[in-house]
Amino acid sequence: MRFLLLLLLLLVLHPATEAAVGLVTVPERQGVRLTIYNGVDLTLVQETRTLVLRQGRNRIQYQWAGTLIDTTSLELRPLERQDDIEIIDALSPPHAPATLVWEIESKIEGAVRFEISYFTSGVAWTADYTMRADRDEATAMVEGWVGVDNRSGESYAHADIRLVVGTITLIERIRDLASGQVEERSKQLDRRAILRHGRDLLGKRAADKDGEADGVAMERTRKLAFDELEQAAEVVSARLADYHLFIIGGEQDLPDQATTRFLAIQTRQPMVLEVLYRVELAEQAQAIKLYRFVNDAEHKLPDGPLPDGPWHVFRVADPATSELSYQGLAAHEYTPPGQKVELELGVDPGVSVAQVHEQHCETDQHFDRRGHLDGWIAHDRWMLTMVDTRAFPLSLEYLIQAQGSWEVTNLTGERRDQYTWRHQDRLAAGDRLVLGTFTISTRMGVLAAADGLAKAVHLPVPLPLPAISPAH
Amino acid sequence: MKPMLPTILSACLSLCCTCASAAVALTTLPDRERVMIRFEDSGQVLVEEARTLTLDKGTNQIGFTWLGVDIDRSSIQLLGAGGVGFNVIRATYPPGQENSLGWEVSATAAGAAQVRISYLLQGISRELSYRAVVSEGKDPRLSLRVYQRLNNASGENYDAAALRAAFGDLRDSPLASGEIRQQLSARFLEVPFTKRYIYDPAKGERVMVDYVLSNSADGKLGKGLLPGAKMRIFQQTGQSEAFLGEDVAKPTPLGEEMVLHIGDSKDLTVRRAQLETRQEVVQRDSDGHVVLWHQLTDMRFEVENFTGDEKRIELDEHLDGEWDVANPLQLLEKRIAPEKYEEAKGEADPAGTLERKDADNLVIHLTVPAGRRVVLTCTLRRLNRH
Repeated sequence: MRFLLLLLLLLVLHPATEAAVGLVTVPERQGVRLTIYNGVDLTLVQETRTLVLRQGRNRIQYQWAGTLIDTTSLELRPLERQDDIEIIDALSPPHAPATLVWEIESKIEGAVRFEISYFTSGVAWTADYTMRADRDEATAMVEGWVGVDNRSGESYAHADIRLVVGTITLIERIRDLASGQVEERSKQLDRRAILRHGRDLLGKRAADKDGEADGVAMERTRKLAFDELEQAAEVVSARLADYHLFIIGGEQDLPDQATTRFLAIQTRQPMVLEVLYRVELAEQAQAIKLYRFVNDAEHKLPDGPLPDGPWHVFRVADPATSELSYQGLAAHEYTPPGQKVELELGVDPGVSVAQVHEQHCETDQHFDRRGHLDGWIAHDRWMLTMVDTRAFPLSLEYLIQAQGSWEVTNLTGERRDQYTWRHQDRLAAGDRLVLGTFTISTRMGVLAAADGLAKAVHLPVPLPLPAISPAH
Repeated sequence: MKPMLPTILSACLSLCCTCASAAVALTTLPDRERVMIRFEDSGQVLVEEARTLTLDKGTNQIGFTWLGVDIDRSSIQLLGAGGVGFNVIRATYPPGQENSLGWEVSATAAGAAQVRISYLLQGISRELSYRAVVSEGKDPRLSLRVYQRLNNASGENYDAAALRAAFGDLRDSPLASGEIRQQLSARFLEVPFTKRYIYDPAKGERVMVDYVLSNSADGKLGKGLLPGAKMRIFQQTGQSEAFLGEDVAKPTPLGEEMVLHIGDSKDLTVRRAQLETRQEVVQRDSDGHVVLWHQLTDMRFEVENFTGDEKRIELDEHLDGEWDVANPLQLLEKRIAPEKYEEAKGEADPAGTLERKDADNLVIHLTVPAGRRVVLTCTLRRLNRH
């Protein structure tokens, strides 16, 4: 484990006697808030500490070592008596790595609460989910967890944790900034403006939510009675500009090198599930099983997005004993409220599917003035047979991919895009579904370009193969 | 007896007093009361343990550690199954301990809570195999047994486990670490089957023998999906058995055929000859060049049956594009000397059939009487070439 030193020294400097520098106090961290972004290695840390100021010039030395703090992002600001306190300078002393000295001009004397904020690397959060479907796969219960992994080199106790879902632009990696690799370039960035913007948004969010000032809210959460813990540990979902925020209630410990998971999403009642099988037109067809549902209140999901993450999917194998069977590991992209979620569970051998490419033929040959073949229509006849050998109904999504100028005959559906035809169907338990024979007709050469000619499509009628006759 | 791997798999319960959250006391170490091991078709193994925890009202810490076993940490679940209700507040993976997990749960009251802890366990596997015996007689049937071979290399001892699998029945039994246990999982008797002889020029000059079973009630199977596994087929010969061959059966859903290729036939021969290829002009350009044509190929198939039984054979032809068949003629011959034949006049000559299997495959079905040769000639027409 890396050596960690995070030290705050308060030095008071009397304007008249600059050489007389004395150590006054080493204040404890009173509160800390971590805003952790996923997708980028970035965490905004906001610490609250009380410094005892003397009237006049004060010098505060802040040191850190063994951590992944972005030096350029460090900022100190008073949380009270702002009109009487001014941060006039910040100095990185020569030959003193991981050290910053702030000079403060104070009109007052006494204890003042300050916030020290900075970006750090090494703290990440991810989401993961557990789904337990009923035996008949009609409904399911869902739990969504957020896991915070702290590899920053610093342990955070009693932390107020906020998790940001979204894609944020980061010009340089915090880890590189922390290690000084791009220090010179980073000095040109207005990183403090970014920091202030983020802090303002978070503060506004907290005030909106709690009806209290930011620092007061932080203080209040520290003093939660123990019997409120369960409620406090609930994860609240909120918007943050174009991003989304999960606020983990209560104070949480994030030890260095440890992972902590919080229950963020939980269905209180079974949500309706659709079992979908997706089949694509191919010689070796297979039915891919998907669980599909919409991220909305109707599906008993709390208001808010579902961050991307893996899903462990289970199904009740025996309702009498509630024994589970493991359906598989699925993944999904970030899903905003109101959007559907599809969990791909792989091939289900309980549903058999066979596709036969019955025939290929060409018609409507077209010749140019010199007699060269310059266009024709190719027809491919297909048939799909699908059998649901399970005891439950299912939905089918049948996708046909085609290129060029094409049309599908004898199969209901819709053109999804330039290349895709979609047919949807339902199968009852034990049912057998036969689609077709349907034909994909593709206009080739000049027939693909000339609309007038392309309409002259004559679907071929396949002739049966002849009977074998005796030779004698 | 194989040496046991050192294994500890434990759940410990510690209570957190509301007045002093730092005072964590270990109060009990409950044994698991029941274990269910479920072997999924995907190869994953899900273990569910039933335990009874004694919870205090309020917040409780539950520690779960394991040693010497490979558990998918992300799959571990704690579920209430009865007794005092509780909610899981958070789960913590302590630093430097890859084999440990702590839950913080909030109980609505003090008392006993029945819980189930489930996880995916590595190192424990199941292998299925089929053993089929063909009976003697004119109308042979198969007796088919399905075995499940359970191999516990997980490092964990299961003294008594409820064993489950997606296919077949498993008896509850102990499964010690290092133990391999084979159980008869299903048995099907008097299973009808057909032998299918196939000649495919893409697979060489041989006639393949397939055994075809129907996964249906009529086929004396049909209880559900037949999983894919190796099948060994034996022939009953009096009091003993002779090995006929083996194949890997594909997973066979209900209503589908299970096809097993067990070897080649030497007593059924096929000679395939391409006699002539020519063009039939459809269109010429203004310079007289052929721009669209049909390609015609005259074919001759000679199928000879050296056995004493009538045989049905499938001849596969692979074609591409648009095609059909013209002038199929069939002649039954008998051998009068080595490589000398004459027409077998007056004998029964079951007519063959042509089947368009799909866009690229023609199948010629022929029935060849015992000791006779069938000669089939036809023209394969590949249409509208350009």
